[in-house]
Amino acid sequence: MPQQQQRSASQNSQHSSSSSDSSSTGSNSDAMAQLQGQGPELPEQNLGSVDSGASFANMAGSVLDAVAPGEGSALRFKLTGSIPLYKTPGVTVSFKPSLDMGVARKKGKMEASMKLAAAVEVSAEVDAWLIDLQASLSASFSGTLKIVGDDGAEIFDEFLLSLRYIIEGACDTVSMPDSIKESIVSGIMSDEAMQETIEGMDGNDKVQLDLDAGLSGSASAGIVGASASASVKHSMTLQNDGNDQLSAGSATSTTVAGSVKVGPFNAERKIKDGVKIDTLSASHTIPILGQNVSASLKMQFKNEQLDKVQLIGSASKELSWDDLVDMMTTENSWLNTLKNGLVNGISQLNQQIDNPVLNNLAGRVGSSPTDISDATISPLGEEVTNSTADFDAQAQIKATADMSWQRGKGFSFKVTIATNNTTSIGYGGNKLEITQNDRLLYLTVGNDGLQMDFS
Amino acid sequence: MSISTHIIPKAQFVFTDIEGLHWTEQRITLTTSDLGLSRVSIELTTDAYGWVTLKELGLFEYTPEICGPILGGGFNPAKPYYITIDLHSNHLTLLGILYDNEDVEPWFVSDAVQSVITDCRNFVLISTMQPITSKTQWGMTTTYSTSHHN
Repeated sequence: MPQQQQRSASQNSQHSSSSSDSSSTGSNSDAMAQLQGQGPELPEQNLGSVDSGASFANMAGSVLDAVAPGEGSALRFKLTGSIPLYKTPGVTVSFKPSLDMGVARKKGKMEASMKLAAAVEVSAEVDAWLIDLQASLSASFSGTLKIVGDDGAEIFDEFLLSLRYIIEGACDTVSMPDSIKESIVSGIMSDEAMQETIEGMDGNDKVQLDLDAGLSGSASAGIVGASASASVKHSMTLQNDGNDQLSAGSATSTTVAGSVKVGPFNAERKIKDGVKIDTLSASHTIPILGQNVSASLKMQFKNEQLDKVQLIGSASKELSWDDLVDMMTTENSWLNTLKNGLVNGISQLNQQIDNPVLNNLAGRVGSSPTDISDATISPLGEEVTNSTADFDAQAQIKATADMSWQRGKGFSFKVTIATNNTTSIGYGGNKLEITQNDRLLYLTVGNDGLQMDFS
Repeated sequence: MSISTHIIPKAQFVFTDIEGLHWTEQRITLTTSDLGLSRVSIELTTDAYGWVTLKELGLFEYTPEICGPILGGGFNPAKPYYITIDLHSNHLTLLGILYDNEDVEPWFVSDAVQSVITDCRNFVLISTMQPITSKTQWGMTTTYSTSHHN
């Protein structure tokens, strides 16, 4: 998208030099100036607890229109409120925005700079995913917005649109039923209101959604055709396509494929049935069973929207059966080391792509219970741990760690120890027959068995 | 209050001699009150490389500690970065005397102004924003956005 189209109409309409009372710049400079003390400061406006995001926007828009400065003037005020995102008996999720606003009216347009500090409150004793959602939202709902509009209503329609993008992204990073996601997302802005906002867009209006997978580096190219020093961009241009539907402006019906290496990532693009599928893969060293092994990270995007993430690493080791029994029953350190290694691996790879989903996944892995007592020992594992056979013999085992997330299916973290050779241990009645790849122990967190086909 | 903005021609871009920094657009905004020139701001448009360079070199008194949270959780390196900087207030008196409250361009190119305005040590970072829609930008403001000039 041409850069100019992303600037506000008031910015685009400027000539090379302008001078006027209170001007029409529309730039950050003067918008920020409003936050820095230009114009009077009004008392804080507390909207209290409202029914929905729409109610908040209506009330906030009315307040804004009521106090709006005249042409060429500016003012500051603080706006607070509470919006219920989800409410069932025993469970409530509330969004409490606090907006430090600087507002100016210039050439008929209202410019608002908002410092948003938002709290997300979740009632006690709720499901883990709600806590994850709270953490994700809390990280995303703070910062600064600048919005240009005709009036207070338009300003806050755009505000809700921004919040809806953020909250949809946060919902996608946690495992929650679609019905709950729909309730939470529409609690901020309903599909209908979103539609109306889009219908109200001017012809040049476009919605540039962050889909949060840009590889650091160049700011220009898509995956295919990007140079080695360039970055991978994952953003989707959505626009009013004339039918008042958001359409993917970058979609293409051409079936092409390409690949490029960017930093630690190999990126491959395929077009299947008109759907653009990008797969990014990278490897990272993590410690498993005292060995540094190369783990594989794969991420798949569909039409530039992150759809799947998988990180797998495995290591084989020979150790005494006695030591193996200790690992399976009392020795915790190997599991914690593995978990910390995974978290570090995800975090380090994410330094390249700065993806909130990966940040969230690293947090999920890091907070997963990994006490050995949480693991499940298989029937064979039980036989091994309960056997009275001579366990001085060496065992060959393989440990595998598998972290995966899939849009709409959720999160899964699995650690497995299995035999890595076919043998027998003990004698007579204590003899155990071991077959390669027999599972001895497994620890699963989240949804088990996510189908992760990256082909 | 009066605000005047001047889009700086490419040939007159400031801060061009810093390796790793590439600007695609620059605009300077002068704010005057009854007491004279009260603020000089420059909005600089750059890319992810420029933003990284700015941070690495600590330009415009950047330190991680001055930065507020980024709405949405982070910047998208694929988008333009709108960086707003403010001139230190101790330069405003001199530059205010030189400003006739009418035309920014001759003021901007004068030697006395250029000697101040081209030195990045004379500015503080106010905000870094990115476009989301044509009407909305997301980003972060620094502690200077509220403390500077107060």
